[in-house]
Amino acid sequence: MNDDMSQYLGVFLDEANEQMELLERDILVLEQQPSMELLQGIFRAAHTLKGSSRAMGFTTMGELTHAMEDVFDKLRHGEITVSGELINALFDGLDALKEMKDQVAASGSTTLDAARQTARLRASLEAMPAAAPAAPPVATAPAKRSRASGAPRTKKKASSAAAAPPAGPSTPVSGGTTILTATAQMSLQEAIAANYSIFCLTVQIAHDCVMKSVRALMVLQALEHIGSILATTPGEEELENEEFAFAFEVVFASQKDAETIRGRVCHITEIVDALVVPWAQTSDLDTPVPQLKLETIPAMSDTGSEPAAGLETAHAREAEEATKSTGSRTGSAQAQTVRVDVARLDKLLNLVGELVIDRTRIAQLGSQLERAMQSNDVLESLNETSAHIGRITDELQEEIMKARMLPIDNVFNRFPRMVRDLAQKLGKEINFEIEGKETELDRSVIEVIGDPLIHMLRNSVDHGIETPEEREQTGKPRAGLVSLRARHEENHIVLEIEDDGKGMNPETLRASAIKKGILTPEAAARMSDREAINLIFGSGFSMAKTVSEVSGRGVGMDIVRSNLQKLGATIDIESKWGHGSTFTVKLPLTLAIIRGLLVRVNGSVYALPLVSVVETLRIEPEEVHVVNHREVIVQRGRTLPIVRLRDVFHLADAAVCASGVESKAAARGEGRRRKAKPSLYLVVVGAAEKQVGLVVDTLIGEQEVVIKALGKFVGDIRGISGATILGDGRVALIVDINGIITIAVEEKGRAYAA
Amino acid sequence: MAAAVLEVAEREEQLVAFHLANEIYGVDISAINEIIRLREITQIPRANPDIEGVINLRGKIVPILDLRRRLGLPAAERTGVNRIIVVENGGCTVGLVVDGVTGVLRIADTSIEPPSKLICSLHEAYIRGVGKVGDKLVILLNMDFVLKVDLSEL
Repeated sequence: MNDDMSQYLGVFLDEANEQMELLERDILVLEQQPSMELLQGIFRAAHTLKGSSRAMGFTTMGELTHAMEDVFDKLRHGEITVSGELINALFDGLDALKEMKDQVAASGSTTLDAARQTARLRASLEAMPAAAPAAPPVATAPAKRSRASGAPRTKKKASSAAAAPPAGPSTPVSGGTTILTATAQMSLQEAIAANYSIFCLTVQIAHDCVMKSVRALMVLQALEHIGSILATTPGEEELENEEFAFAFEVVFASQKDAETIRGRVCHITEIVDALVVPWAQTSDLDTPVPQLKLETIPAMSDTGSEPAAGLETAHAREAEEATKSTGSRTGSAQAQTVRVDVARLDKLLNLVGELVIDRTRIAQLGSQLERAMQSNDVLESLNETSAHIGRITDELQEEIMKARMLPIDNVFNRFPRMVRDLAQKLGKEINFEIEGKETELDRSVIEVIGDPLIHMLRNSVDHGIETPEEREQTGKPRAGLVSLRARHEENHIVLEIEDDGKGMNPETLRASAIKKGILTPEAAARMSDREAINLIFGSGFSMAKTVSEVSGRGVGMDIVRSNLQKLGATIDIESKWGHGSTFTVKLPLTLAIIRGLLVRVNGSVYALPLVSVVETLRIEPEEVHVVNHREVIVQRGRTLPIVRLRDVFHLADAAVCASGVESKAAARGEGRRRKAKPSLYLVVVGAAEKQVGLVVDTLIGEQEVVIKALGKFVGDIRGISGATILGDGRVALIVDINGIITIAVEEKGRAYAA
Repeated sequence: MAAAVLEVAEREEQLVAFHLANEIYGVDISAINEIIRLREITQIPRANPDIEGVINLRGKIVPILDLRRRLGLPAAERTGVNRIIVVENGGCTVGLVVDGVTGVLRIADTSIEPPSKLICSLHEAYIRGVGKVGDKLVILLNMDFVLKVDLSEL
């Protein structure tokens, strides 16, 4: 790559990424339900990728995409059909492309040799029995793509050919230029002269349609009533022989308007949709004509490479321009968006964070002034201004948060492929469904949620779903169902992974927990089924091989959970033995700002992430019982362990070496606690299946807090996940609920042992 | 003439001098971001005991090190004279609590001597050298070591 090109590298990589994602997604769909529309999209993506790779000088990428493009081209012309081997070959190629792209991203060039993948794709083309004659007789069809094998890019489509005025008699040369027959061209001219409008119709037939040809003929008949058909793609003969996917195109002259024509066509049973576009508009930049613009791509390369006489017309050039602009998205759409460096967005969010803090500070100063001074005009307008700043800051924060949002599809898009490959490897049949992929969340979350999800999906496929044979024996359909769902719920994103596999048996889980020495038989017996199922999150359960026969799951679920908890997410699981399992993950919208419950312990303010807070209680000291050396309370019939934050944080000790102010406050706190034995404030927090009550001195309230790191000098502190700045400028620490629970468990354990 | 001035300038260090347990210490002025009054410090439970806590410095969370404690000197009551010296080292911003700041000192290279156990009781690694200003000794701190979080290798 020369230096001139390097400046385009970023753009190239961005685009390549997009195209490859699209390819991966659509090839998967293609395997299940091929459609013309889909193929057009895939073809276009491959074509764009080929073009840009070549332009950047990455010839191996260009060659490989070229081979893929050829496959898609044959597919969309119904010359070959989709097969498992073909899809695998395509994925093989796509993987190589990705690898090359990554190399390019890392080093600016790629050394990978994709000859094997390219050859495999080519071979799959050769091996396929042609579903349609390689060179259909041109004369019999009014308009048809005739094409010489091995030269897939060199062809014209009826619509683009029709778009070119019949200036000169183009002959169906061996290059494979499809044209209107001389008669059709005559009719076209006559039609234009007679003030007819020329339309290009793209007709979609329902996928479950049994007699496609009948529907196609009905469409043609209906059209004959209101105008005259100039050409069809594929030709009428192929239409009759059902040699097309689920869409075909008609070039049509009529005096009716597009809506009427569409109405007539759509009226026919099993016709899903009909896109009616005046052909003149094919050269119109502003009209989004998805079907046509893809089709004009090959036309463009044709006119570029082999300027056939009579085709180099103004119209052809216009069409070319149209394709160029549509190839890189329409000009107007581009102007509406700006690519922004992520670091800049992060900076903006930080700045807004500062503003949020200062806003609160100003409001507090205002009310302090109000208390200290007589109410006056200046004070009043200060408070007004402060309130206004508050509103603006809120809005600003919201907008910047939105700007950082990405649809979760950015993570989800790689899963269908993964599930497919995994299922194939394991010999399972799986239908994978995704819902709510448009759900948006902050990119900080997007970046980190992928791995835990992959793990959970693998689990569902590997251990949840049974083999087709097992499923048949239990009366289930052969193919298992795995669904991944995302949705908004108040201030959270909820992700669900559900399978209809064998589920988990609480009994076997109990038994293996006892066997592994994690639980005593008594403790296991006391456990509810729900608790037993949650055992899979325990670290002792992480080894699958030994338990997978009986328990099914457990591969690294402890890691999944701890990773999720680091994000402030909670995970829950529901499972019915024999009927499948559902994992529910509740994620914060962003990792930068959270809602926190502010509490005071020993004079200092701490923020508890609200996502973990279940409820707050006020209990009397007498309600605390000691069971098994642990403090618990009985609440609504269940025992809830309680943890004193003061103890976990060693606050009594720490106060000794603290600054004067702090130790005095600490001493006061101590005194109060000892003297009056007042009621305890309990914040019930839930980390995964575990719930504990945290004892705090006072509850302050709920507030949005901006998370700040303590920095590498302080390092990782167990039980503290970060800090935030309060409205009065003081620093409050954010409590890591899981850390606290772990510490409490360990330290009680030690105390018990000692 | 000009060359001579340059030479002198090169061989001079500018230090911020501060008190700590009746001795004068110096830190290279270029390492210091600012000097602020003592303010409320939020303790971090379970952190390294030398880290007294964190403060909010214009929206930034800055950890505070009790320099007496870090250098193994006896603790003392905090007063209004105490200051926090905010230094930047290795990408970290850290505040050091000192007894009080004296001012800026210029000290000639030639009057700086390597650390010696005879002069002070501090661990050698903390000290870059000892300088003489008039009849007073200034202990020059080696910030890299003072701010090393993990001191176990010393």
